[in-house]
Amino acid sequence: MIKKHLTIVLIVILAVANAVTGSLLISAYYGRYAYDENAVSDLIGLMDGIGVEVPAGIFSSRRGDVNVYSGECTDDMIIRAANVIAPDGIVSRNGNEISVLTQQGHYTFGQKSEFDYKANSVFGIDEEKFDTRHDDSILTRSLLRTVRKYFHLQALFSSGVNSGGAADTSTSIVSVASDSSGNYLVELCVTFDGLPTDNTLQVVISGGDVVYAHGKLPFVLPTVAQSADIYDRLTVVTQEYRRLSGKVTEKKTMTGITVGYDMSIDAFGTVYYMPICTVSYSDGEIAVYDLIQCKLL
Amino acid sequence: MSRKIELIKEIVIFILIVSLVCMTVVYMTSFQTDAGSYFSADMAQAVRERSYRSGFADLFDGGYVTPYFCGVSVGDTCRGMLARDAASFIHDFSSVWMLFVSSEAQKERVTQSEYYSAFDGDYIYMRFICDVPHSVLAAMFDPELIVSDIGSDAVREMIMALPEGDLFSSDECTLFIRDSAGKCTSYSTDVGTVVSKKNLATYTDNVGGFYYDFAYERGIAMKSDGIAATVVIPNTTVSLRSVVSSDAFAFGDSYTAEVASVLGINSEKTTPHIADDGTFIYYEEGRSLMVAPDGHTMFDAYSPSGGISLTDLIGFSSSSGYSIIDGVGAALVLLDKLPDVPGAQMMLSGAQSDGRNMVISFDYAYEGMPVTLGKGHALTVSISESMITRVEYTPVYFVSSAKAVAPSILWYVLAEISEGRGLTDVRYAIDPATGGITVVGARQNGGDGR
Repeated sequence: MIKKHLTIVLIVILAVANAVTGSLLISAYYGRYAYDENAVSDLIGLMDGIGVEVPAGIFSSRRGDVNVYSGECTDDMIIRAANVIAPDGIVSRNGNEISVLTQQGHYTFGQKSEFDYKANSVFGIDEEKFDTRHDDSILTRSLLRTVRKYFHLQALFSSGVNSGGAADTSTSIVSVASDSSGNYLVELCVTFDGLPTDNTLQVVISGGDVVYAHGKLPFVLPTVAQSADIYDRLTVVTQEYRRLSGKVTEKKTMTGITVGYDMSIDAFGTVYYMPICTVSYSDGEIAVYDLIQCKLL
Repeated sequence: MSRKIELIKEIVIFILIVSLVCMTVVYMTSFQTDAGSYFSADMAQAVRERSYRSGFADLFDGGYVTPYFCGVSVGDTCRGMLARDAASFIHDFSSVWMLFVSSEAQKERVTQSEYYSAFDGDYIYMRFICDVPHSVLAAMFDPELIVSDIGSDAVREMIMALPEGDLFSSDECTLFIRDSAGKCTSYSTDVGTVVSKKNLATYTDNVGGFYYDFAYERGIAMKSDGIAATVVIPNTTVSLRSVVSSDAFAFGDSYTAEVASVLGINSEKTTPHIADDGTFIYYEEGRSLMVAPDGHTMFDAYSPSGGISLTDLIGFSSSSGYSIIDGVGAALVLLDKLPDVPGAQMMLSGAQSDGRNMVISFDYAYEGMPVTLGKGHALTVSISESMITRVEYTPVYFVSSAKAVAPSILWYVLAEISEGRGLTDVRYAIDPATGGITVVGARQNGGDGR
């Protein structure tokens, strides 16, 4: 008799536990990946009222699990990265920069992730000549492979170089353009966990070879991941509503809200990658928010 | 029947357990972060502030907050070098700075004879190109240090007295500082730094570039007259430099528009009033800007709304209020945005704060030597709380001249001699009329400028 009652009690307890866990799961899912539809439509209406059109699809997905990444960056680490990117080169120090001279060209590595490369055959790059844009995925993948291979990015982003790797690091293409001579200007971006960082690189590829690069590369991958409560895009757009109220003279459209990372480096050489949200508009205006504080940067 | 019910109950329990485990696993893997610790909004703010502040250093010409000359005297070896040849040397002696800026350091006013007695033993000596406020110096070398008040202490030179023995820890040593008016102070603390004295002397031999016998520096510092006879400058190691002269800068409309833009005046919408002497005067709500034909620029905010926001200028709003570092940083950002003055370096010549208001000033340097304009500073930035309320800028164009040559090191030595004879705060300036370098002001100890 007692066993019979115990079984029923156990079933009730398990059923309650299932219900609680299930509701937690649903709540966590909606809290992280979905927006309150009423709040979204209200905000779109408000933005429309001040002259900013916001496409509803801009809030189609939500991402809430963004970490803060950090790591130490020393000269030795930069030199190790330089040896990976440009093996067999002659390494020298030029002020705060590390220079590497190879048979093909000249590399420079700065303390704040600045990266430059110029092949010996190149005297200058006129970016305005690259006026034909390309969206062909096969072409972009092929160009990305060329850049990754030329600068040994696979090896650079493996945790073995500087014992980093707290974030899943990769690169993605931002844009591709070509000039009349068939040279390509590729803008690529380093990503952490699939999110873009402000470490972007402009690369010129001529005849299948990389001949020029200018931008930023994370020579030292973050070693520490810390969780953080971040504001969602709805809150960011609410801030934008407050900021733009009464200031929009010509109707414009919000063209994107991108969550990503920007790099901060302090005087001790500690590099932080903190989540940001970039809001862009059809008139070219861009607003960047710190997502942890929801503050305009 | 009862057996069947029991079986169904067991199946239900099994399903519930499996379901609970599955949901828990999904929750743990999908919605729990694997990050080791939590990064708060305050930490984010602190990182951004530190990052912005470290960026100020990039704008610095830097020469005036690092010593221009340093020397080491250990046993019979006495070596001195221009600091530009010894950047890593100075870096290695960061313990000097740490000792100096440590809040735990015991500060004591000392007499000049006590100060000079430090030269009797082994020591590290460093000298700055001009008096640098202690707080500014401390702040520049310790980004974590927030200085809210600039005291009267200034540093022209410092001696770190080394105790006996090959190794020393700084709990046994004292740092002496002296300003150009002869005020001497000692700092002692028990920061546990260990430096190899044996390496000090040999280190200087490995420093590339120029170094010379340190004896005359030592002699000048210790004596008060007849110094010139002891000065020895090996001819082979002194290079000649061109003396410079200033010249009128071609200031035109584009300069005026650029300055107006930097200072937040919309020169396209605001029509300037042009005075009889050719000065452009802009009036906007709460502020005015005057740009004279010679480039002299004066910005004044009459109301808080007319000022330039520090937040907008330096890129962040400080939760704890703006420090003197932010004030210096804001002046540097402003300086960086203002039209370039060819050939000129800027040195921080003053930074004052009463906790609420700040006045930051910069002056020119050429070839590492301070140049005084004789009428105010090259750039003065007044800040009230979070707004820049006044900016005064005097651009000067430096051009090289082959008219006269003199080794720059000689001027340093002459400056030392002047101080040794009781003349303090000697100011050299480039005389536009002659193209030469002249003494434009000097004070006797405790006296007024003349």
